[in-house]
Amino acid sequence: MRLLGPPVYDRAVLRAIWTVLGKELRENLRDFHVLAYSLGFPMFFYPALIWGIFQIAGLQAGTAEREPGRVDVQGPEEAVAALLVEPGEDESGAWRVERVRGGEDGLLAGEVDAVVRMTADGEALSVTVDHVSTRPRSARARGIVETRLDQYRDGRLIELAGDLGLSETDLADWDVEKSDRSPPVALLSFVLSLLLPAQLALIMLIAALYPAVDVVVGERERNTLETTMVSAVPRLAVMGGKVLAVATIVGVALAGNVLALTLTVLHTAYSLEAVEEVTLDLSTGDLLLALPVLACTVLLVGAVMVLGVLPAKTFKQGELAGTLVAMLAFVPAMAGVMPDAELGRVTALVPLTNCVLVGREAIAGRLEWLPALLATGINGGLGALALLAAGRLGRSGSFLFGGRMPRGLRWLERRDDRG
Amino acid sequence: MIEVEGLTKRFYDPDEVVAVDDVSFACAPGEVFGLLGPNGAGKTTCLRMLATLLAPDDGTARLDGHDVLEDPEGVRRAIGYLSSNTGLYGRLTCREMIHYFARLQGVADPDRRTAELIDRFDLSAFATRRCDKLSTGNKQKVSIARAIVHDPPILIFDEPTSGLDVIVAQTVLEFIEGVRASGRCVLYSTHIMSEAERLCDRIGILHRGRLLAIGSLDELREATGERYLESIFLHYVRQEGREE
Repeated sequence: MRLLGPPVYDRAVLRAIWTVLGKELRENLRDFHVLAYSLGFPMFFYPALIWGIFQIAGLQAGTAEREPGRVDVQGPEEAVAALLVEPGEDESGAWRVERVRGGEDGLLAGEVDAVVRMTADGEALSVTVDHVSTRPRSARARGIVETRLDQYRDGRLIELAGDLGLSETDLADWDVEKSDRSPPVALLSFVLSLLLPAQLALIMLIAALYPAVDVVVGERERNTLETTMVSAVPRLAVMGGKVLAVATIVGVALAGNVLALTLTVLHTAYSLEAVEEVTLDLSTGDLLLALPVLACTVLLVGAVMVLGVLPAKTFKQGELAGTLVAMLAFVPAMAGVMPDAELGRVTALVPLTNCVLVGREAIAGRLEWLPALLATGINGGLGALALLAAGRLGRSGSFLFGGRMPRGLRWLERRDDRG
Repeated sequence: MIEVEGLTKRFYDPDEVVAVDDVSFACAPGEVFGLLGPNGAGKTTCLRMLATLLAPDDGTARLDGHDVLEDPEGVRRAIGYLSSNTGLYGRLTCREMIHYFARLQGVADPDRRTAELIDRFDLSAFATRRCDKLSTGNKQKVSIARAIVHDPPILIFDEPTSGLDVIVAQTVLEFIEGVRASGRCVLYSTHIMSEAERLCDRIGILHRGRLLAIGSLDELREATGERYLESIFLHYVRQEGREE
């Protein structure tokens, strides 16, 4: 069988692809930029992000506990006393109020967090709480005051009921009991089905960018491409090895990212003492249907990224072209994130959209075989076409020796020249 | 072993430039054929066409019986190609670099061949050192080892001493003299007259893409009445200028 070039079953061709793949992986995995950008970022971003959020949240909570709400309270003695609970009287240490004087001027100057003005009219109490909503400390003080007033009102109601000879339960004769009767959707499954597929698409594009530029444009800049291209192997085999190396790095980045995210979610769940809720109901059947889609999408992303950066003359141009490809490719991925998007026979034919939707359906445990099969076919087919196109473009002299960019991409060249 | 006939290459950037214009020559086994010309004469383009890195617009060439257009892989199997700006994979070690090309070229026992070349070029002490940490001389040795890893019958050298100091350049020139003695065919491009005088059995003078003269140094001396190659070269260039 011949497919636009050398026989694809030729053992020598396969050996060449394997050799180039091995060399590219070895070289790329020794490159700090690839390690940091394509592997380090996907693996450590989420743990670092969640850790950072926890640290900031803890810091804020600690700060809030140390800073009582400064409230200027005016009104009947009994009502004022109800708001000014002494430390130790309240179960929550965070609900502390410190009485200050300053009125509205103090509030606007930031010396007072809230001003409470209470006016008694018989048994009724009219209350005005002045605060500044754009100041977190003032907003928090308002919340404390409102909670205390609610408690005070409830206490007064119970007292009035007692005066009328009613019991406390007569006042609270009915309560609303909340009962969620929806199927038990696991927390992890729910969160992951929303976030993970789109995030994986993003990671794929990020992880592919630097290696793709390096294996073609970087090699040309370092004058090493010529030596490989003058070897007795078909150009398609060389390009195939390069695309597979990029795809492998993307695959490792994806696996690392999933592992990092899982560990982060588990750690978070332990921290929140909610580990019982963290279960993932992903079936083996769904996994077996989804994995080929993912593998073919990885191949497609690798091949398209290499094809996209091939015309670039310099590394800088390559990064620009690769970023453009990534941005364009992220559009269909985002389409798959839309809440109304569904995996059907049409959406299964749109690359990246289909990958996101297949991921979503698989995590939700309802992936059907036909869309998965269509997605595998279209992504794998387009990946192979992109690889063939890269192989053909790789035969041209302008690619090897950095000739002029294709007409449609010359704006990149001009921008680069402008520096 | 090398037969070149009417080789022509044009570039468009944006106007047409004829980089190589109807060049024909031949080179036999055990012979060093020199392409002599100033920068921009078309030497590199000519050699790149012979190495199948560029496709000719007109004409053809056969190397070891393989046509550059019809059987480029056969040509690449038959040649070892080294140019002045050939790079090494900086993040691979010296051994990995040679081994990679041995496997790529389909050498039967790449491990043995790698060890053999490391020994031959006295690179044992640097075998596990990354190429970007090697000295210029050792880099050039690795480049030569890479070019001959598959033991090709034809060697194409494109200004291999350009940018090298005298001592490293000497290593390269001695290697080429050794290659000639082994009966291989060597195509050698240079703009350094002394190198051409020392190495080449026959010389082709290339100027503005056109081959102005071919012959041994003695034949060229006789034809021009000049003694030194530099004078011979200028003679042909001036003659061409007068004809235009």
